[in-house]
Amino acid sequence: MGGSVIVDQSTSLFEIASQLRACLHHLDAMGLTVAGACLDMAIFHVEKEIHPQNFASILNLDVEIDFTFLDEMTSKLFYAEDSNR
Amino acid sequence: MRKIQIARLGGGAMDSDDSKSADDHITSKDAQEKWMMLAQEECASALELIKTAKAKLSGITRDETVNNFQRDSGHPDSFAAWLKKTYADRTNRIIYFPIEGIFGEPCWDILLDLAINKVSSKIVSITSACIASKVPITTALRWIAILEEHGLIARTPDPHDKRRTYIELSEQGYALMRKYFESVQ
Repeated sequence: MGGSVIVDQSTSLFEIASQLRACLHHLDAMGLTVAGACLDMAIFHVEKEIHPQNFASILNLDVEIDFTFLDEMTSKLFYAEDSNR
Repeated sequence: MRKIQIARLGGGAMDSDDSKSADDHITSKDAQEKWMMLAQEECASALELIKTAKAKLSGITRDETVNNFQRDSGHPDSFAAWLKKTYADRTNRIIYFPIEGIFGEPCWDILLDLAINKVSSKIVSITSACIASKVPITTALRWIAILEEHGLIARTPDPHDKRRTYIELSEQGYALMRKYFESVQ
């Protein structure tokens, strides 16, 4: 879990979708369900080989995941501080 | 102890069940730091994968899509290839006409996607079918309901996850897709 991936232009979309599924399972296992749900949507786009211009959401997906992540991490930090008091 | 409120994208908050699963991962400061490190790595991996996928999807041609499908699914059937080709043709129009919302026949896109998945023996979630329609989810759900009313598709609840519902082409829907395919050959 958590290792960096090695991808380039020769990596097939099928392989990318498989690796994204693995990331999704890891995120779910870590309790990052919102980020996981965003990723789930991204995987469907990749699996269906939908051209990115068909969906504005896929163009902004990385931003969405970043924001979601930030929200969740901030909350967990807040929780950890709160419970240490 | 204060109840955690985890902000969702666009407002709202996770319920306590969601946050319970997160609690399990944070039991000490060390565990918390490790969790954050892993989360960052996992996110970075996902973003890199998505970036690569987007670059590849931007340049993909219809023929590549059909070849990928036949290679990955191992499905040489001409019906399967026609389904994939038809769907790819519709998807790729946006390359030549990059104007959002000028094309749209969500029912046909949903039927094609469900048929592609049926010949590949893959199960399809409602979300997946909505994405295939290339229209907003609420619009797609309306069309899914209409297709169901006409007996072309059927819903099946996921026995392991009550939040998830699968849909598939009904026997009638599949037979009609095949008939149409034969008529255009």
